[in-house]
Amino acid sequence: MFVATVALCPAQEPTKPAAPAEQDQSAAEKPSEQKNPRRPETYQDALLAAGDDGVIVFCYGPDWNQRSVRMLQSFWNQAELEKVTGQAVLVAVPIYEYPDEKQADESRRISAGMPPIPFKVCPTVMLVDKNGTMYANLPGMDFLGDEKGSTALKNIADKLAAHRKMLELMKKADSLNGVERAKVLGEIGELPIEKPKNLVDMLKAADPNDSTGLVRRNEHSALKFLYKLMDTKDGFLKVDFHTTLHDLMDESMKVINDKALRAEDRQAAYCLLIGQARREEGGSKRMKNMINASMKIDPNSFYGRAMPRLTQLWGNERANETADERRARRSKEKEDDKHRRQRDREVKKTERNTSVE
Amino acid sequence: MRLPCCTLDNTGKICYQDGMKWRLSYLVLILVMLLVGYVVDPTIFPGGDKQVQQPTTPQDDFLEIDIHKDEPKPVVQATPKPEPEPEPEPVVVVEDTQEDAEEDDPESAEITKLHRVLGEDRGHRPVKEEDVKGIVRPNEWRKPRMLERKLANHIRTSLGTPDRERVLAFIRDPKNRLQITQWELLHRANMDAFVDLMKDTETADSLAVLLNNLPWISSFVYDGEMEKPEIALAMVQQFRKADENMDRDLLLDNVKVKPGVKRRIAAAVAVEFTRNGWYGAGVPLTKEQIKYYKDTGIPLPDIGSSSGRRKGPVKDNFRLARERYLFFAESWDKGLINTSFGNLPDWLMHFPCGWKGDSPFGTASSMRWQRDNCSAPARAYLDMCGQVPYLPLNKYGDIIFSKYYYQPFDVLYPGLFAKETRDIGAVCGGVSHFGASSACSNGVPAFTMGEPGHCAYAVYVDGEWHPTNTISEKRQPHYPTWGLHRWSALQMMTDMYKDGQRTRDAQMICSLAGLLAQNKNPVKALNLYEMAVTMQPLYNPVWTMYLDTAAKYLSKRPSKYLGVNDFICSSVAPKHPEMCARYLTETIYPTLLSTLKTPKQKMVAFKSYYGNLNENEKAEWDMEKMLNMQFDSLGKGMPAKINFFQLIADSVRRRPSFGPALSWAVRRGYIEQRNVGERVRAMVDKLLEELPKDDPNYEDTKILLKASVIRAAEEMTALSLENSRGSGREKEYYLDLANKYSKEFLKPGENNLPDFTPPPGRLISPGGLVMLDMYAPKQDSIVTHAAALTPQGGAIISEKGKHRKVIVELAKRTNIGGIVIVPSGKDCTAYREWFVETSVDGKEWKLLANLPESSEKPCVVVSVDSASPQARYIRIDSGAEQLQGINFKAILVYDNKKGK
Repeated sequence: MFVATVALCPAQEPTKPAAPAEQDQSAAEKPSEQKNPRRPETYQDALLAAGDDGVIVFCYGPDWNQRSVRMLQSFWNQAELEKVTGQAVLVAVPIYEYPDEKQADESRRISAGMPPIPFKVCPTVMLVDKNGTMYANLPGMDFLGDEKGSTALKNIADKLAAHRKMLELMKKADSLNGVERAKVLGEIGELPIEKPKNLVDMLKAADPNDSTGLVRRNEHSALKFLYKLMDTKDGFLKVDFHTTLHDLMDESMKVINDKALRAEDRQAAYCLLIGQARREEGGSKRMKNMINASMKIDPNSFYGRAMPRLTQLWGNERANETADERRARRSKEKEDDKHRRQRDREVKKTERNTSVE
Repeated sequence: MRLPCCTLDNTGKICYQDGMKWRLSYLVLILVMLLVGYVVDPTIFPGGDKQVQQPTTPQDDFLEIDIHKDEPKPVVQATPKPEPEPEPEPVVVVEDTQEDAEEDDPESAEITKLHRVLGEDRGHRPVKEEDVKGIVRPNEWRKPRMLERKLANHIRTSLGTPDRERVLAFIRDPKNRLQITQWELLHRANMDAFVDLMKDTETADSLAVLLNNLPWISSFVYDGEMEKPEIALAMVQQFRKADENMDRDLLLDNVKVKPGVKRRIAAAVAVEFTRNGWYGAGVPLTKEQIKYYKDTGIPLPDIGSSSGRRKGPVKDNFRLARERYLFFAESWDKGLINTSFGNLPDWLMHFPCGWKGDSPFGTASSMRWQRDNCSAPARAYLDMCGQVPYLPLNKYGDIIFSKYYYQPFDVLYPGLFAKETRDIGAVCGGVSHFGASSACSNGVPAFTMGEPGHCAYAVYVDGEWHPTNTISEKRQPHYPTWGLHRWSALQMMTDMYKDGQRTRDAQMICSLAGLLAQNKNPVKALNLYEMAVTMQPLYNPVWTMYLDTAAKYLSKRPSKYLGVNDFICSSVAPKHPEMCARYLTETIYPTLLSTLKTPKQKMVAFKSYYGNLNENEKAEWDMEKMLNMQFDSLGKGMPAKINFFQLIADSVRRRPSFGPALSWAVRRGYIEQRNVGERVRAMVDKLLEELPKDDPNYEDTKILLKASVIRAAEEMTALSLENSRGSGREKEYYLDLANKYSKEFLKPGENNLPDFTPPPGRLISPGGLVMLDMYAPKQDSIVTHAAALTPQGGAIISEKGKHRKVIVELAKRTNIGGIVIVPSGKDCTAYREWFVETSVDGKEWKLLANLPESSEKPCVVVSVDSASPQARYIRIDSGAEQLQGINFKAILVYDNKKGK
């Protein structure tokens, strides 16, 4: 079906497939292209040549994504990138849409052994350590900025710096024990890159009592916390939703007051309370107080920035209720109470005769 | 146009000059003479050089009607009479060449020049059709009424007698195709509104460039479902104003694509936004929102209308459509979307261009974000929905179905709903919309679709639609095809457009037929409709028009309708059985079945359908309407009914995928007289026993058919009990089937029950009957119901809802000593509010026990300590307060007698 061809594809040359014999020949004929050890042809070659700075992969779509093809020239092949990326080895990987046999071979050869590209988004820059583990992924233009990659250069530099810092901290942590080791490992948890998968285990081993709070900090999941506390079934709220603000308060306040946790996690616990206060009658004032308290934790966080609007959105929910709505709500509450009492009576009656395990 | 004795006014009405009415007779005379002259030498008329007057041969072997009976006989020879006055200008339409037009009108000359430039601009890949010049001068579009008449007259005159060869030759001339298409557009327009639109000369002249361009107007009229063309054209005009370079393909130097990409985008956007009624300018921002954006310096977003359709267009305000056009035009110009977009056939372009204009996923800013951040090869969009976390609750504990789910975060994602969805989460609807929207934003066709209790989506990859995030084959695309939200309709449309040339020819012929029908020439029109359906049987609209016209004018001779029936069955049924059934039940059968006298004749018609079914086509659609219609038409005679059941059984034997029909047969057999039901069951038994074991699909077939039959048997039994009718053998039949087949469906160890201490009595549930109040057809394997009453374990699953019930009817009335309920899950935490009841007669129920509120044990054991009730029926109820479904591995009932 696809018939589009790209005539202007300047940066394709380094990644063109070649038979082994041709490869040797071309290597002899074009020494300048092969000489740059920072830009090998395949991912495997890059990994072999990689030092502590690892490999940086640029994914582009030669037969379908013109922007990424242009970026090969305007960003990826620029000397500026080599300056920013220290000793990292750079490799460009083509992702074809409808490849012919030759293109499919080329793609396989270049990308062999590479970690999977999340959702195959192009253009993407992936940062991989020397062991082949991806520690940062910069997919799409939110991370790469314009076609010149101005934002990308900064992001890559930041991620690379974080990676270097992590290696340094790991080395340092290896020479330490106990709480001191935990504190160094805790610093790794704050770096803006993928954390080592066993970080929490290492922290637990170093600080079994969690005196530093770093295990809690790295282990806490706002979502798990939410689903643990809410009255849910299959992830959905139950129809007869029994949870009250009172039920949530103790557990949530524990999280909120635990300063070892991240600000956003503590604010997320506040979110749960705020939502519950909004759902309950007469909770408006408490909700406003909680919004203010939550903002004090970190006004610039994800939740902090959204909070000011909440007072305005939800503050007067009950106040805006019409007389009819109020009547209907109260009547429903009354009906529910009646039903509950009736059921209780039946339960007591049957319990006399039956035992259920 | 001026005649010596009369003039045509703006509306095309003839105005007589004072005292000149007597001259009308001269006019008639002149006309006769002209006609004679035309026969003698056709070249005296424009376009006449292509016509050869031949004796007409009616191509009505189907109709057998004299197509000339309503027409004046052509005059072959006539002697011209001396004229009393100099010969006046003829009334018939005169074709103006473009050169003439340029001479007449400098304005139109300029437009014509532009027209040529457009063709030349494509340069490296000229398309012949681009250069086609029709008979319509640009400035004639300012008077659409007159133009419609002119075109109609010209087409009729040029076409002459519409025999097959002539019609084919006629429609294959690009010039004629242009005229037909132009007429079709004008014909379908609301003329008053169209006239209003064209009053503005700038608009008229600007649109004339497109409307005189064959590829563009063909795409506009035929490659989508054009409705209200006057509104769509008003949109296009806005696009032209907003994008001066619409007619130039700026980025064609390095990519080989079909020319005129942006003009095709304009047509697709306008047609889709018009037919869906996405006119409005969206929801206005509140003052606070505007203030927020100003304070933060964030550019003002475009927020789609969440309130859905508006009643009519907002005057001069097609903001959503314009933004969609500009989004794709800009994306194409700058090479930001998938390059295959430029090569999409025009009908496929409608999917991305017409992506949810009224959804927050369809705003330009949201699509821009997805274009920039979710760009992937086409096949990768099948997994793109995986970016969105499946989260029914947000961090505030609000459920996704409430307005509060996204509300707290809206301020952080101005106009970026796709990004917000990715970050905050969604359930199936949002997840699928994200996936489809990613594809459409990058120019890859996709759409979302409903499935029972779910939302999925499909992406066009490698020339086919691929459903993804799907749980069922009962799909209802949100993209309507011919007004139908049916997967089969969409597939048929896809197959139709893949056969492009035939489809376009059929569309042209259909338009010609419409023109003739409008001219009160139904017989000719019918011939043309017939020609169109023969040429492209998958073109749905022509069937409708053909059969509607046929119903009005066709003599009700059974053999004729049988011919149509056979043709539809042979051409549509093999690949599109559902659409074929739809044609038959909605248009053919209402007439055909009333004309056929005997059941035997009717069976011939029905066999035509079943004989043409394709073996591999899955019958995942509701075929009962057709089956019932066919069955009911056979009357009360027993042999005919048995024959019909035999036909169904034979069809299923040959095509096991048509298995659900068997289920229908068993149930329908039950409703009929007792001996019919029994003969059906015998037939089905025989069928199941005789399945060819050497068939590679033997196992699948066996399971499919047996499941169908057992389900039917169980439903039939329930019906029998409910109505207190039937022979009582329904239950025996069901139990026999269940016992015979259920073991085949259980894999060893699959339903092992957990360890538990049973009540002291004897197990009495095996051999009982399970009845659900609401089946879950997708999840429930009905063949294992019987096993669920044994220690072997099975599965009983119902749809979710309040007060879901499962009833176990025991083999005989007995004193209940205890019940063990084993859920499919790990524990019994779900059974709050559930209760167990007993009954002697299945009518009056007594509460036996309430299930524990939250038990972490793997099963519930109910022991009746004293005063054990006598019962034949056990009922478990899910209670009033929760939306839950039955989901048990086993229900074991014990009596109160000790020892096994």
